[in-house]
Amino acid sequence: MTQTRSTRRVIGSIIFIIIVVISGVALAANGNLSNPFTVIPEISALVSGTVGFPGAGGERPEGGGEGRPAMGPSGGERTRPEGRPEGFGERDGGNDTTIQWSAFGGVLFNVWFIAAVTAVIMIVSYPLGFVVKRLRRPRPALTTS
Amino acid sequence: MARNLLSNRNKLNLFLDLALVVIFVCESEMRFTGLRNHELFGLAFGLIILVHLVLHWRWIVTITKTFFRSLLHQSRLNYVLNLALFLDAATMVLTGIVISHTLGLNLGIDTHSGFPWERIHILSAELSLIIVALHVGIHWKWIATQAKKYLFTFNLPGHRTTTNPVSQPANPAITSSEG
Repeated sequence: MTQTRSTRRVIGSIIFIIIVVISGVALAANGNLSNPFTVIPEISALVSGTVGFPGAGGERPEGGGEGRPAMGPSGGERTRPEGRPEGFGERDGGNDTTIQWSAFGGVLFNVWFIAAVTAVIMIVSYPLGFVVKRLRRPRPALTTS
Repeated sequence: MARNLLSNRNKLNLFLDLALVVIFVCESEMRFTGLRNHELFGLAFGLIILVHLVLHWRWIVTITKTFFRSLLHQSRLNYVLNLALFLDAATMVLTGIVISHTLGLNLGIDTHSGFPWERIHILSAELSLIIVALHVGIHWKWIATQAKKYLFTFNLPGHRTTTNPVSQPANPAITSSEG
């Protein structure tokens, strides 16, 4: 029974990973795939005092720099990080409440990224769990309540 | 239905977390929702996070008290990640309220003073995608188990269902590792 459950879980994981890979290829084909980790150097630059516009040495370039300037309702503009899909977090949605289905690819990218990270953790967790189980000394069970 | 949901902590957590993820992935794409919906979803996101924290309060207190006793335990990694997510989400929601244009919330903060409110809001939103993905990934076993129990339970003829929500105990102990 336990064996069957474990096998089922592995099969489920493999199916999930295959779906993630296929949907990733589909998103890439539609130009909705990008690297969200580009935000980390930007945050480092912001924290260290430089504003973090690419290639600007901390100074904000005229017109928003290399990226597409996105005019917000306040007139403020920002530079889209390189590689990010258009629209992620940008304040160019206007005041309307209508759903723009043309931007749905960005939503799918967010869902896909969460699923992709989950798939990576799934893949890593199997060998890691095996190693940890081998290395861990036997200890009394933790009681949480 | 609502009473049944409230009486089953795992089921409530599952549906609440599902709502959080749906709101998060939609509102992260502002061109999709439009500014007004983006700001409304952002407020809803903040409120649901508060409920999420209240529901996991016992776990938070327990791990905070015992954090340094066993540093290499999985829950420590979970705790650090959750703390990062909380700080990031709080930054995102608060800066979102400060720069909001359609909610009519005037906090008396000058958003044109040169302080990069909007930039912090955008960067924290982009960072939150990474942290949320790690948070979901770390809990994938819990999500898979609960989703199988409460979302994908089909009453096929001749098959015994694994869960009968009506027969759940009134106040079950928290058994998940969900933080």
